[in-house]
Amino acid sequence: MFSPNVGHGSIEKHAMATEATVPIMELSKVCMAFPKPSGEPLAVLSDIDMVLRQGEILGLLGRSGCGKSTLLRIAAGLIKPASGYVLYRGALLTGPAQGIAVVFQTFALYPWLTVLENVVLGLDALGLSLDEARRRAMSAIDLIGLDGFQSAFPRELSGGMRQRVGFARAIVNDPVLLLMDEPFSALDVLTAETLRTDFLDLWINHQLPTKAVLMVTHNIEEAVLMCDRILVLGSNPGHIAGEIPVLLPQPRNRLDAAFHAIVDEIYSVLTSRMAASIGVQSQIHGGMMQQLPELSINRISGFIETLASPAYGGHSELARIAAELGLEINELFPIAAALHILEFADLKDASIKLTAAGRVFAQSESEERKRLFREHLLRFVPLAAHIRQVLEEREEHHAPRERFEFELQDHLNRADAEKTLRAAIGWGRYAELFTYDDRTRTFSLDHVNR
Amino acid sequence: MARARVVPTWRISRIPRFPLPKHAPDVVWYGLLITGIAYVGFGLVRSAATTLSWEELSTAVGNGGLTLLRVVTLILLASVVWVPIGVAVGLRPKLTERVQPLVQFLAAFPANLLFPIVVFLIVRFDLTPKIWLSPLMILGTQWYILFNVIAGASAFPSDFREAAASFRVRPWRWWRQVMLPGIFPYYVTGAITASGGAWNASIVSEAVSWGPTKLSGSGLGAYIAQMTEAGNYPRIALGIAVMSVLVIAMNRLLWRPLYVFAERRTRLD
Repeated sequence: MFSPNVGHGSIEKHAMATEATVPIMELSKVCMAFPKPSGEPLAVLSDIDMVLRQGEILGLLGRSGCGKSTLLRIAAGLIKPASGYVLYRGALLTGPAQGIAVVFQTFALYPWLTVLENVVLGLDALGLSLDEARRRAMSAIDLIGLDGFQSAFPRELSGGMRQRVGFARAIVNDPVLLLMDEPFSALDVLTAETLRTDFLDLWINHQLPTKAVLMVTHNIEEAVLMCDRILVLGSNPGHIAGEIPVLLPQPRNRLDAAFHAIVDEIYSVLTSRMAASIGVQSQIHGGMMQQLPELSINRISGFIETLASPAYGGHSELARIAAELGLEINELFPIAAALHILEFADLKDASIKLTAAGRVFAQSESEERKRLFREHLLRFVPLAAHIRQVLEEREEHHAPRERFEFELQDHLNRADAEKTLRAAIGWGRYAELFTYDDRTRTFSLDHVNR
Repeated sequence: MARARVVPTWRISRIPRFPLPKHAPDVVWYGLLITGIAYVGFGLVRSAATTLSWEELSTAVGNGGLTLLRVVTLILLASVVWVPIGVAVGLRPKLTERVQPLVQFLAAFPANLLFPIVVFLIVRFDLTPKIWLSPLMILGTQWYILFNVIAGASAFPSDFREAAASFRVRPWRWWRQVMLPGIFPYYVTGAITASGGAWNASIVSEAVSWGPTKLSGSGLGAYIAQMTEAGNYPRIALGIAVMSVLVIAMNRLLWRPLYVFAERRTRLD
């Protein structure tokens, strides 16, 4: 066992005195990297310091790809961090441990086991007798509202009922720490709301043995609704961009002004991060670090038109337009980022505002839009301008896709490079800046305006 | 990643309902098939009646039983060996990348090139051919089990693995309730292919010769091989008929139900 900075002999006393004050979990300088195709490590998490205290629900909020799920798996002992360490109740965590349970986004129920057998599996490590295991599994099933379904197979259940099994399996072992990886994101809106409320009821009424919860989510309202504290994660590599305490009493009301203020604050942390990173990315390494969100022209035009409509008058708080259009941050932020990159809109302090060019775009006909888009693409997306330039310089005006893939992979991981190139192809085609033939995987200037 | 399962070639399609006009080509085809089989069968029975006795039939069936026993035993043995190894390989993507081409090569390698070595060893150490010739049957086809189990394990969802790891499911239950059911459909596909191949291979492996040395382990394969050598057509036909009946019976009574069961169990929707 690992006891940091405690002299021999005082360990026991120390442990007794601090039972209430030792954090449930503590992450210190945790870094994580996965190998790139070239073999070099690509950092996904850097220097994460995090403390999870007794009695709280801590939220990890961020866009997809910010490493939040990796962080949760490190806390579960499923992945070893590349450097740094994790303490669970003061002891070094070296692997999955008694008292830590995970609820998965995809439920991860075994289709060949019944509900009861799936839940009993969560108890296997304790080595209980068959009767005792069944008794405890049944009481977890009852608590979570699954009574009557114990002999059903997962395929017979709706998504909401399946995730209830996921919860029952996690709590059956009386975990001290519950780790939840986007537990409601695979469910429809109403089902998710029901499950959230049911979970909060159990939590607030102390019907769970659990002492702390760590929840990963990309849903801002969900985080504000459930968490006592929210860590906002930034990406490339994943880092803690801000910490926001949520001191509102439970149950919380989404329509509350205070609730709204916290949602706005989170948007503003996320947008300032995004605006800053877009600014940096376009300036260094000839702009080849700039990530482009893969987004169709229709979505971009549609969003600009909506924003230009009288209802918004060219600007909106992100929270408002997200709620009214039913967009989650995973959907909203790529659109906002695209508009910001192309300078059709400005992101500032949790709101988005059309630029003069954006307003012109909204009022133009299709040919004029194309011309405007082309102009902005050349000016503000270095990758698109670079592809065009290379094609112009070459005598036969052809260039293989690999050429640009390799250039991008110097600065981005493979998946991001792929996405960025696909976005550039889509936008370039629309702007008639270049054409791309996927069969031969070559860019060319055939049939475009020179 | 090699996710695709090798699909068994001898799945029997449903017999069409006759009155439907859109099945007319089928009706003609099945009609021709039935007429052909009846004609050949009738001819066989008539000539067999004069040349073959009931004892002959019971000899062939008895040999068939021996080969059946061998096929079942060898599939079981190969499964015990290759399923754990296949799982161990399939759960490690880097190892899978290296091992899969090797297994494909082994499956394609003509196993009968190794037969002389076995004949030499059996003669040298004075072993019983009835037992020691048997492994030759599975030499070339066991790889289908390994190949499919590797594919199954590498397609096993990572969430399922992580769930089992985080709940610290103990080894015995992990095999029984997590891993084996997960790869089961893949295993069945591999075992069907392997057992079909083993029946085929019995013809060349139950009676083996190397130079002047001739070894026979009995069994239906040896029976067919010996009758072929002797040019005894009625008995070749009898041997093949018995083998066909046994192979089809094994497919319908064992593999098909297992396959359906496996598919149904691992489906989530």
